[in-house]
Amino acid sequence: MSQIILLSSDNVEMKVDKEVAERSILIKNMLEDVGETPDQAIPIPNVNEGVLRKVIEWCEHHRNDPPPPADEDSDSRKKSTDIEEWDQKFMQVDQEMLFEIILAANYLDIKPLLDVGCKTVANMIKGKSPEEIRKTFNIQNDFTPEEEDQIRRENEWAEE
Amino acid sequence: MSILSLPVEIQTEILLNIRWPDHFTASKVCPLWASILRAKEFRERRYYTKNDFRYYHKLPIYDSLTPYLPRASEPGGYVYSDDIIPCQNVLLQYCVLVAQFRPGRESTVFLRVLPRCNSNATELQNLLQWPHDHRDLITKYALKDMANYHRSISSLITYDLIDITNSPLLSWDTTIFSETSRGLNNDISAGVHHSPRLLEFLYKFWKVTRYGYQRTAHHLSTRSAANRYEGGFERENWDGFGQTFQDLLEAVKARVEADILPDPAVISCWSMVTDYLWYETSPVGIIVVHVEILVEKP
Repeated sequence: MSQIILLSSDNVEMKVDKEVAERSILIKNMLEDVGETPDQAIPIPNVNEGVLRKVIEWCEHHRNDPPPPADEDSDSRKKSTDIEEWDQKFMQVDQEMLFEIILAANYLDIKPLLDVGCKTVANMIKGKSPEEIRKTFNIQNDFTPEEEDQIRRENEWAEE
Repeated sequence: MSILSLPVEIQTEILLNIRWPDHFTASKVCPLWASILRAKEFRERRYYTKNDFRYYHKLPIYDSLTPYLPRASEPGGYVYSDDIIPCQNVLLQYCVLVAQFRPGRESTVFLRVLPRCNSNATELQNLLQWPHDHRDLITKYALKDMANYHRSISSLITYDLIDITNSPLLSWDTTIFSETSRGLNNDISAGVHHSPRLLEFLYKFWKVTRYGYQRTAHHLSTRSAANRYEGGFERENWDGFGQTFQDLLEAVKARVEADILPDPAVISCWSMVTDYLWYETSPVGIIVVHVEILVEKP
């Protein structure tokens, strides 16, 4: 099986099965454009070694998954909080790494990984109060009193 | 790295995955999330399906409820209806918006939804039965005979009434009707929002007393002066055209306050859109507003 080399932003080379790397649509398109397996390392300038290793780990585990549906509306959002057990464990990382993985998935165009990342974060929001959410993500409350009042009034009808 | 330092597109993707009740909470977290969650594009992406208007006549009932209900709790299988109102907004859907008018009290507007939204067969059945299936009405006012009459129906009811009297939805999130000479046949698939059409209102009135339900007591058609509520709802007095559902409610309220509530026997009055009609040969569509008047038995 042919392999390619990926070069992380901190100049670490990683050998990966071509099939695994092609879970990334960005890399897949790049390889298709080149037309043959390149000898030189493919630079991934936005992703550091640690994050790239995690992304490759995910791609290896999901190497045989069917491609995601092209139609956005048939996406899995209906099962918004359902995440496979393996993916749940995979995403048990600190927030910094979680956000880095999401950014990398976005950059590398790996939609299923991006979805898993977004769902993981969404689950961290689920059922929490605004203050708890702020605390979870270290967000400052920078609403003006007027804005806060407007939001409260707009939401009033939906609350008890 | 903070969540807020992620690109807005990614934060939007994250928020697209949270449940509907969490939207209200999340919008209070910070101004950026509030702006994402309140954006029309977000709402459309989260709650509408692509086929909503192109195939409105094949829409499952829940698709028309989706602006305000979570997709996550939709059932797997759909019940299809040929009678779905071809409108953009849920508020004009059959039996979804309920207004209550009472003498000497402020009127109240409710969104009528299934709490769990998971029994579409029941939903469809109940849509055909309102207001006799109205649990509050039955439990608060009706006596034994009425309750007996409707026992089998009321046992199926699982609706929640969400008070949206002060919601901006009524005036801000709806484009329900407008006066236009364009034909109904003209691009119906685009939906009301893109193809405004002339709508008239046809009222049907029923009276409910504490001692029973008068099935055919008072019908009124705006097209038939002879067939009208005794208080006098005549077509020439009706000028209830408007742009939003709030306009419609205000018009209904004005008529109810003038013609029904002054009757000392009236306890309460409920109105709800129960039908929508149009004819291929006519530019006029009709919204049927069902008004049920609860009165003391003389």
